[in-house]
Amino acid sequence: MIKIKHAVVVLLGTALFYTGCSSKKEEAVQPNIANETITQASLKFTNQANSADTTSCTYTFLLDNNNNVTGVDSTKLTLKANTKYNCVVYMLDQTQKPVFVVSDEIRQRENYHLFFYQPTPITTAPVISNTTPYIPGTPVTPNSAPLNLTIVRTDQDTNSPPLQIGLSTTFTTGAASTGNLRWVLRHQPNAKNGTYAPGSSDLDVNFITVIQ
Amino acid sequence: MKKIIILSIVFFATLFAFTAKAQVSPGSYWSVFGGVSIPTGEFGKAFYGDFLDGTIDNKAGYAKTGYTFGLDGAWYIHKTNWAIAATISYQDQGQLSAKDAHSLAAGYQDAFGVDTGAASTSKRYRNLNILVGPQYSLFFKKFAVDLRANVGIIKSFSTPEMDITITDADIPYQFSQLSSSATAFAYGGSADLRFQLGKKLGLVLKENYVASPGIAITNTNRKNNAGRTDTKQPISEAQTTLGITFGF
Repeated sequence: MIKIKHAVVVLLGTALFYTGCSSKKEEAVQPNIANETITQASLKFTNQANSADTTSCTYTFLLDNNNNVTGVDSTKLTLKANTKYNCVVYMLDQTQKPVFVVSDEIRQRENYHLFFYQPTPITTAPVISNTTPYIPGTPVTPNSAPLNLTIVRTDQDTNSPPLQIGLSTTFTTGAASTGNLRWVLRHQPNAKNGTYAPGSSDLDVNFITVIQ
Repeated sequence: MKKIIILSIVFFATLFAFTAKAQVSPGSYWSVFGGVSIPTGEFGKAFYGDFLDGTIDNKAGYAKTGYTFGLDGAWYIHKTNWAIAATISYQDQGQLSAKDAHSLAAGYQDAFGVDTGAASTSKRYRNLNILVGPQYSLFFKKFAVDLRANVGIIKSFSTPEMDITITDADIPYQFSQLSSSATAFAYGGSADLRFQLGKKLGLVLKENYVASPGIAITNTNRKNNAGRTDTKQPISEAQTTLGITFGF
């Protein structure tokens, strides 16, 4: 019986020795990959009162044969005064064959992307919250005629709680006016909270805007 | 594997010291055992999945084949073939490998669409199973076959910690899956073959299966629903053990 007890002690002792062995640390870093490439970005508008009344504006990055940007082309945005428009985003990567619809991927990656829309000039500072699409720090010019345009995002992601995205919006125009529309796509990986600050910009473009 | 071999050598060296002739009978016994523990199902998977395909596997455990040892006993009811049995065992199911860390880094990089992903992992799967249940035994001359169903708990001492850093436009974002010491319900079953060496001494070869719906996992600094997020880690283990039994 003493032999048995000794054997049990040896067995348990050996096992406990290995139990106490510390674990090692493993580390890995993946190499760089390119972010979304956006070569063309459009806003497509449909008049809420007349679905046949549509318009759009498009920002295009002009590329050489090696896909280097050689210039840009921006069309003018023309909207009717005192009108409500439904607006949707359409983005392309024309460096891929077939052409890749980036806006579809943004939809899949909606939980860390957020669009901002900022009309200028503005005469008072816009309301900044996690439910407004306006860009903090936009210069206020009290003596200028403002661009009479308000924008509301109409879609939400699947975060908990949900946050807005901005792939679809409502544009409401006021009296005839002119100015600019700054359009920004923020990439906020594991940082999206509805505000502009976290992350970096995947797109930051401008459209001359006429409300008539 | 080296650990298992050494444990086995110690075990067998002990056994060869004994020779006896005896018949196995429905007497209560206890045993000390050790062997191999193999992760099964999600627990043993080392798979991140693809974000855009919607195949991210939140429950993949990256557990490895490891070892187990412990104590076991059965108390027969009035010399019937039925007994109340109990097992307490310790398991080590290893830790994430460098390949696993690369899998995590690449997975989070893709899931968040960022420039780089980095993963640092540490700590091991270590847990204690405490299980009780009915046992039915079939007796032959020198052998007994025991069939058992178990319920109980898995007490985790640690699970792998995963520290992730994704970087985009030179801005780092960090979050972690922490090591867990939670306790969870467990269930399982076993079948064993007992061989009587002496009046009170025997050998037992056991196949054991233990599973748990999951132990709670805490994640820190997760702000957006994207990428692998494990909040409950299922555990399932198939174990082959050898033991020495001692009659009461």
